[in-house]
Amino acid sequence: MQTIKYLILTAYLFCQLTSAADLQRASDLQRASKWQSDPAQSELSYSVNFEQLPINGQFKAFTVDYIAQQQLRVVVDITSVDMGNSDINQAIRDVDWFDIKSHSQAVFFSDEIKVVSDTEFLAKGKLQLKGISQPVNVPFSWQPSADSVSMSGKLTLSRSDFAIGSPEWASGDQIGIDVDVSFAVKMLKHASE
Amino acid sequence: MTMRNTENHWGWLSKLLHWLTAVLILIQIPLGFYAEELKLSPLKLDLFVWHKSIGMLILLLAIERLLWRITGTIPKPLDNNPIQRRMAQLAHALLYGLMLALPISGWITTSAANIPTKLFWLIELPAITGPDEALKKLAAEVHEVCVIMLIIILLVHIGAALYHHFKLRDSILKRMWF
Ligand code: HEM
Ligand code: HEM
Repeated sequence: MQTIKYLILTAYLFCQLTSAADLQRASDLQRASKWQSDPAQSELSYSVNFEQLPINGQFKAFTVDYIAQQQLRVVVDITSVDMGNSDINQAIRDVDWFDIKSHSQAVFFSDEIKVVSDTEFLAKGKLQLKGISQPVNVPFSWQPSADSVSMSGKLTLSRSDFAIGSPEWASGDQIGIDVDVSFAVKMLKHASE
Repeated sequence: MTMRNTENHWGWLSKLLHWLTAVLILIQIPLGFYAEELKLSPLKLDLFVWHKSIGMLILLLAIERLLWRITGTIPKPLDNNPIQRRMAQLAHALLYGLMLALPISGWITTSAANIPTKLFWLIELPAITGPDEALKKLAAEVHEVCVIMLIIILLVHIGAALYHHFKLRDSILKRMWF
């Protein structure tokens, strides 16, 4: 009798444990699902005032890695910048602006992801650009479809926070200080999963 | 003084438009060369806004002048020499052509260069072409050739006006003056 009681108890505990582990694993899977951008279907662009009218630029090469609701990492190849004008493209590569010889990459790394709603999130983290690290919040929407997710968002950065533009451009009268950044990224399940 | 031109006199509107254009062009040419020479700086960008603004104003004045000329009369030429008369007519026709060609080629240059423009920081100048590196080069080339032609013809034009005034002592310069 004693043995039977013991067996039942063990079986019961075992069941509890395994189902708990199952649950744990399921939510881990969901949370830990890793995503990566598809460069061919992704865009990272910005707009800044030029003598009071907006002009646009884009970074043609960048990658986004995302561990669902845990971590967001964006790596931008600054040398891929394009503003649709050869003179401007040359000028912004100079030390006064992006200084691409010394700083060819920008990296955003999240410290935490805040859930705003089922499809809206806020990545709080740091952006390292032109060798300067600043806290930056990246709000983004997360719209899943059958086999991919559309991730998009907008934020405004101040170029002076990152020493982009030498002191003679500090007033912002000719080239605006605020830079509106927007991204539309196609996220695919990470290949290793 | 009347607004309209007569057989022998320029009306004040034609005079005003002529001298306003003259002043603007004599500012515009050195301004263009200077702005072009500067290395990239806030001043350079500001001077180009001025250059484009003044240039478009010249275009507007030139159109107004041509319309006024077509719809009204103009004084009879004072030149007795038929060759000189022909030369003067040719020079004036070329000057009108350049007052149109310069602003238009400049406008194409900034449009094709993908640079937006707010004239006098007030009025947005729409782009007349999409971004196009090759077209930008071509239009800038045309702009420069027009500049050189303008300078040459203006030297002849001003030289001729002074020649008439001081050498021939006729009233050509006086009748264009107020
Ligand atoms: C400061 C220099 C200038 C002087 C002294 C000057 C002088 C004159 C004079 C005296 C006339 C009258 C000719 C006549 O009555 O038959 C004239 C006509 C004319 N000028 Fe000038 N001018 C000057 C600058 C310019 C400039 C910068 C332009 C434009 C690019 C220009 C364009 C013309 C044209 C198109 C006419 C002919 C007007 C017509 O027949 O409709 N001039 N100029
Ligand atoms: C009668 C009117 C104009 C005159 C006399 C004039 C004259 C000049 C001169 C002397 C230069 C420097 C030499 C050169 O590169 O060609 C220049 C350059 C330039 N002008 Fe004008 N201009 C006129 C109108 C305009 C207008 C209306 C615009 C634009 C809306 C414009 C846009 C430019 C640009 C973009 C350049 C630089 C070209 C380059 O990158 O090589 N200009 N202009």
